[in-house]
Amino acid sequence: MNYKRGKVFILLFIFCMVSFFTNDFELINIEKTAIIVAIGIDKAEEGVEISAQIAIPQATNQSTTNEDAILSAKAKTIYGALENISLQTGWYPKLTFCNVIIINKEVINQDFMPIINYFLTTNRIQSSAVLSVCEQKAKEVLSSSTPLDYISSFALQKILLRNIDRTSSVLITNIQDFYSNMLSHSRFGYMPYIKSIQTDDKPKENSGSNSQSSNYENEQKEIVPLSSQSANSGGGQGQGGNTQNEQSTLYDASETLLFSNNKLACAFTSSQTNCYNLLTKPIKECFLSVEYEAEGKKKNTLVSIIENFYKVKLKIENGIPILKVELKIICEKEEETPSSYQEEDKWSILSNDALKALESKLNEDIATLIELSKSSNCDFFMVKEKLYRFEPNHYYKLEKNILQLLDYQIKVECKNHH
Amino acid sequence: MKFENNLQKNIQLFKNVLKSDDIIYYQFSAKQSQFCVIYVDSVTDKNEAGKLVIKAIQEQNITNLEDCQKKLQIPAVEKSLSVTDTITALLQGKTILLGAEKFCLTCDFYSYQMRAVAEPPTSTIVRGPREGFNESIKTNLSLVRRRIKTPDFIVKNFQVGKYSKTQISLCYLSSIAPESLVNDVIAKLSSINIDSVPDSSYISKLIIKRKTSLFKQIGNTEKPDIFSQKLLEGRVGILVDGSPIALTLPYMFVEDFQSSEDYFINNYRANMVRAIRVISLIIAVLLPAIFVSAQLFHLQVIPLNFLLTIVSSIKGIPLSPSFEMFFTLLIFEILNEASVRMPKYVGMALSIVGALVLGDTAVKAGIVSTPTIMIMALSGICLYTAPEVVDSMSVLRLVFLIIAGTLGGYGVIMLATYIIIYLCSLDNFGVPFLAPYAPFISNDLKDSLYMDFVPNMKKRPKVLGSDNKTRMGAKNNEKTN
Amino acid sequence: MKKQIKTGQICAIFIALLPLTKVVCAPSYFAKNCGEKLWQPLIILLLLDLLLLLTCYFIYKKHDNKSFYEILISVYGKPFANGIFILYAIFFFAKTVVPLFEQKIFIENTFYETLPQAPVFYPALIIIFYLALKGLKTFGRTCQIASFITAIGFLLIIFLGIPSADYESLLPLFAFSNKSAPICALTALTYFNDAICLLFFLGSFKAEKKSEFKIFLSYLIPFLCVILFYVTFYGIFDYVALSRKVAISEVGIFSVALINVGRFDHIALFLLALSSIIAVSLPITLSTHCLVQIFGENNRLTISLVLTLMLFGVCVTLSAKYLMVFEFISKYFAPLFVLCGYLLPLLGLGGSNNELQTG
Repeated sequence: MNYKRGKVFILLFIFCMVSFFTNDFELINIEKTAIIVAIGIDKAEEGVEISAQIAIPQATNQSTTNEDAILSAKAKTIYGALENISLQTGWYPKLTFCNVIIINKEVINQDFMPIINYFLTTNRIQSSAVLSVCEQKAKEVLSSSTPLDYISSFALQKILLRNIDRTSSVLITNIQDFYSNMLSHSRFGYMPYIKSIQTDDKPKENSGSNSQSSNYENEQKEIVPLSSQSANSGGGQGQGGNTQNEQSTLYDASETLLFSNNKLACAFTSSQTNCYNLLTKPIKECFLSVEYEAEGKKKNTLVSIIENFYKVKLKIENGIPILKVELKIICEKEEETPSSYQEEDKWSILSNDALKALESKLNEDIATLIELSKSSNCDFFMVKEKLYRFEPNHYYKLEKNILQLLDYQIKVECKNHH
Repeated sequence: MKFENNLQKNIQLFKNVLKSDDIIYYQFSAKQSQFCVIYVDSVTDKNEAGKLVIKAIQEQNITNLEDCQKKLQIPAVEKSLSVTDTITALLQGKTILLGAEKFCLTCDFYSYQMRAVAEPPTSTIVRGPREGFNESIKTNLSLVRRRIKTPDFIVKNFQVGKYSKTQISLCYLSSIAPESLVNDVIAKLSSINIDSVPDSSYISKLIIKRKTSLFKQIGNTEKPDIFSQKLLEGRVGILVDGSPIALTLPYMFVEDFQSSEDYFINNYRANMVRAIRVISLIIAVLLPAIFVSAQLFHLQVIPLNFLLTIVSSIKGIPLSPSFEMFFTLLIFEILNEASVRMPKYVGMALSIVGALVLGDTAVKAGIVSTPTIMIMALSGICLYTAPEVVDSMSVLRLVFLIIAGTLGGYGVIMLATYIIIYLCSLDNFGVPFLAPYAPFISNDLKDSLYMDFVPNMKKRPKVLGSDNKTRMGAKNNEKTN
Repeated sequence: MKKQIKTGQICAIFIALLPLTKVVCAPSYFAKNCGEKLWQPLIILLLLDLLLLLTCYFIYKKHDNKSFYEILISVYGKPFANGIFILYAIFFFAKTVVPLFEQKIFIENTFYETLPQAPVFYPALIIIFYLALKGLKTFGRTCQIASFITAIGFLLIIFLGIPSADYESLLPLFAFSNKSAPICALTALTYFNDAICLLFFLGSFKAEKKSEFKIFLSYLIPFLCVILFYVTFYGIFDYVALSRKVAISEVGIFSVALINVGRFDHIALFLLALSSIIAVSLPITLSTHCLVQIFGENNRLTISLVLTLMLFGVCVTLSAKYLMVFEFISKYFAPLFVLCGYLLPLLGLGGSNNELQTG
C-alpha cells in the first residue's frame, strides 16, 4: 500500500509541477487585463456606445502617477459593446474595479432599464457601482482633465462618494439601490445629474495625454494604437484629449433626476436635493442660506446643519393617507451679512428670527417636494411602499391613487448647537 | 568462550577477538602472582588506573582477584564470568583486570575529551539559563539531576545499536508521568534493531507512529531547564549518548511556538511574541502562495491602487508569476544552504553576492520584480521566528506555492483543509497533536498559543493524562487528583 | 460502541458547519418563494429541528447512550436496521449533491473570473474522501478548529452587511398570508435538517455535565445567525434578492470599509470556503458511517472511495445543470428527506432499555 501511495503522490506531483510551470489553462495574463475604472454610455445610431476608462499603471521608475486610456465600442447591447472592446484590443475587460457608470441623458430618455438590468445580473461588475447621468456625452466626461485627480473617474468618485461622509449635496445611488427601488411598490429611482464646469485651473500633468479614444465600429475593424506614454504628447487623436487646452473640468452633481415607472419623471434642484437628503439620511455637513428680517434690516445668514433627526411616516386617518414629516435640526451660524458682532456670535448662535426663518424655509421646501411628488406622480417619498409595509390593511384600497389622495403634515424644528 | 585458570590463556581469549592496536594489554606481577590489565587506550584514564589498580595491587601484595575485589578502593568494580560481556564492557570504556581465575574484574576509568557545557546555538535567549546539553550522556544527566532532586526521578538505561552500543537514558518522574506512556516508550525503545545511533534524531524517527510524516512528532531540546520542565509536566525524556539534542514526548504542535524565555519575561511581552510567531509562520508559509494566486487568479482581491503598483512593477518580466516566485524561493534556499556549509572566510562574499547580485541586479535586469523579492525576503525572515518548524514549513511553503500557481486561492484553501484534517488525525503516544485546540481542552489553554500568568498555571496539562494534576498550591508530597 | 467524539466536538460540528450550506444559493431561493417573509419557513424548519433534537434526547435517555444502529437491532432486528441504514446512506448522499454544486458555483463565481471552466473545484472531492475515510473522531477535532474559522468569517460578513441593511423591508411581518412558506420549507430540506446528525452520534460520545443544554445552544445559536443572515440579506437587496446567485459573497459589498479599502471581505470568504469543504463532507461522512455499520470497519476505505467516485461522477456530468438538479432533488427527494429526517428517528423511541431481540 505504501508503494502504491508513493506512486500516486509522485504522479500527482508531476502533474502539479507541469501545470504549475506551464500555467496554461487559457488563463488571462494580468498584463492582458484591461482594468476598467469607469464606464460611460452614450446613445449610438443602433444601440449604445460604451466608453471604458482603463487605468494604465506606469512603470514605477518613470512616474509615480497612473494614467488612463479611453476605449470605445458600439453595439446593440452593453454586452456586445464590451465584447467588441475585448475582441479588437485583445484585452480582457475587467469590470470588478468599475465604480462609476455614467449614462448620457439621451440614453435615459428611452428605455434604459435593460442596461441597468445587465449591470445587475452580471457578476463581472459590482452592484455597488455608482450610477449617474451626465449632461454632455459620457465619453467627453471621461476624457476630460480635472485638477482633482489624474483620472477623471477618480475625481467623480470623490464627488459622488462624499456621500459616505454624510453630506447632503449629492443624492447618490448604485445599481442595486436603483433597481431595487424600481421594483418596489413605489417604482421610483433617482440618479445624480453631472454637469461639467470648465475652469481656468491647470489640469494635473499627464492627465488626458492618453485619453485617446479609438472608435471601434461593428463593421470596420480600424484599429488605432494608443499613443506612447510620453508626458506632454499632446497627440491625443479623436476626442477628449485636452492637454492642448489650459482649461480643466470640475463636476457638479448637486442636481438629481428622478424616475418613475422606468421613465424620467422630474428633477431636483440643488436645494431640493439638500432638502431631500435631510429627510432621508443622517447628515453631518449641510449648508443653507436663509434670509430674514431683524430690527428692520434684511439679513442673509449661512447656516450649517450639524445634525438632523427625521421621521417620514404614513398614517391613514379616516381613510385618508397623511404623510407626517418631522424634521429636527441642530444648526449653527457660519456667516451673516451684514455682519454685526454680538455676544452670541462667539458661540455661533442663530437668533430666534433666523431660526424661525429657517423653519419656515424648510417647511416650504418640504411642501414643495411633496407637491412635486404628487404632480409628477413620482413617489420618491416611497408612500406606496410605506403603505404596503406599515398599513397593509389599507394597501389594496389605496395603492392605485394614494399620491392623489395624499395629505401631509410637516413639523420642522430648528435648534442652536449650543 | 569461558575463562580458564591460566592468565595467558585468558589473555589469548581476548587477543583472538580484539585485533585492534589500541587495545592495550599490560601484564604486571605482584608478589608471585601475575595479572593483566586490558584497556582501550583512547578512552581510559591511565593515571587513575595505574594508581588505583596496578600500584594498589603491588603495594597491598594482593595475590588473587577475589582479594582485589575486596581490597581495591575502586568504585563500581564488578565481577564478570562471561568473556563476551567482558569484551562488550571493555569496548564501552571499562578497564579489565585479568588473573589466573575463571572470572575477571571490570572497573570504570572511562575518560575522554568532550565539548564543554555551553549555550546551545539553536536556542539562544536573552534572559534565563544558558546551559545546554553536550554529547556526553553523563554530563547531560548531571545537568538534569541538578534541577530535579527527587527520588521520583527515574532514569532507565538502554543500549541501542548493534555496533555502536549507544547508551540511551529514558527519564521520567514516576509520580507524574503516566505509566502507560512509560511502558509504551520502553517497549518501543526495546524493539529498536539498528546498526548504530549517531544522533537522537534516529531514535525519534524509529519510535514515532507515522514515519513518513512531514511534521515533527517528538519534541527536542538542547536545554536542560526546558527538558526538566517538560518532565515535570508529565512527559518522558530521552537522552542519547553522543547527541546534545534531548527528546521529549508526547509532543504537541503548540510547543513549537513556546520558548523558555516566555516564562522568564513579562507576560504581556511573552504573549505578544507568541502572537508574532504565529502570524510570522502564517506569513512565511502562505504569503508567497497568496501573492502568486492573487496575481494569476484573483485580481479583484487586491485593492486597485496596489494592483496598479503590482502591474507596473511586473511589466516586462519574462517569467510567469508562479515561476518567478518559485525561482526566487529556490535561490533563497540555495543561499540558505550555502551559508551553512560555506567556510566563515567566504561568508561575507556570499552575502554580497546574494544580496546585491541576485537581489538588486536581478530586479534591475528585469528578471524578477521588486514585490517578489520583497515577499521572498519577508517569508524567509518570518520562517525563522519559530526555528523548530523550519524543516517542515519550508517544504510546506513550496507545496503551497505549487498548488497556488496551479489551482489558485481555492487550491491553497484545499491544501490548508487537508493539512488541518491530517494534523487533527495525528496522535502521538495517545496525545492529540493539535491539543489543546482539537480536542478543545480549556484547562490547557493557559499555556498554549496564549500564555497565562505563571501563578495561574496551577494544573499540569490535562492532555498528558497525568494522575498528579496539581503543580502549584498543593502541600508537599501530596498527590492530588 | 467506541467513544470517538466528545460533546464539545458535537457542539463544534453544529457551530462550524450548520450555517455554511445555507447561505450560498438558498437565500435567493427563499426570497423568490416568500419575498419579505423568508424568515417564516426558517422558523418552521428551526422548530422541526428542535423537535428532532428533543427526540434524540429522549432516545438517548431511554436507551442509555446506545447507538441508533444498536437500538434498531435490539428493537426491530438486524435486517430491518440494515435496511434503514441503507436508506439513510442514500439520504445523506442525496443531501450532499445540492450543497456541493452550490459550493462549486460559489467558488467559481466569487474567486475565479478570468479562468474558464477549469477543474479547480474537483480536488475538493479528495478532501471529502479523506475526511470520510478518517471517521468521526478526526471529523470532530477538525470541526473544533473549523468552528473558530466559521465564527470569524461568518460574523465578519454579517457585521459588514448589517449597516447596509434596511430591516423595514421585511415588513409587514404577518399581513398578506404566506402560503408558500411550508412549501418552501419542504423543498429546502436539502439544506436543512442538520439535527439528524445527532442521531448518528448517539453511542459515540460520553455525555458530560449539561451536555443537552450545550448541544441545544450550539444548534440554536448558529441557526439564529443563519436567520439573521437571511434577514440582513433581504434587508440589503430587498426586491432584487431573488436575482443574487451567491448570497454570502454579496452581502458585504456595500460596506463603507470595502469601498474605501478594497474587497477585504474576501478574507472572510476564503475562511468560509475552508469550512465549507468540511460542511459538504459531513453528509458523506455520515453516509460512510451508515454503510460501515452494516459492512464493517474494514471496508471503510472501499465505501468512502465508492461514495466519492459516485459523487465525482454526479458532479462532472450534472454540475452545469444545477437548476435542473435542484428542482429534481427538491421535488422528488422531499418525501425521502421528510421520512429520514423527521419520521424514522421516531423508531428510536420504540422498545425499552436493554431489550434484546434475536433477528
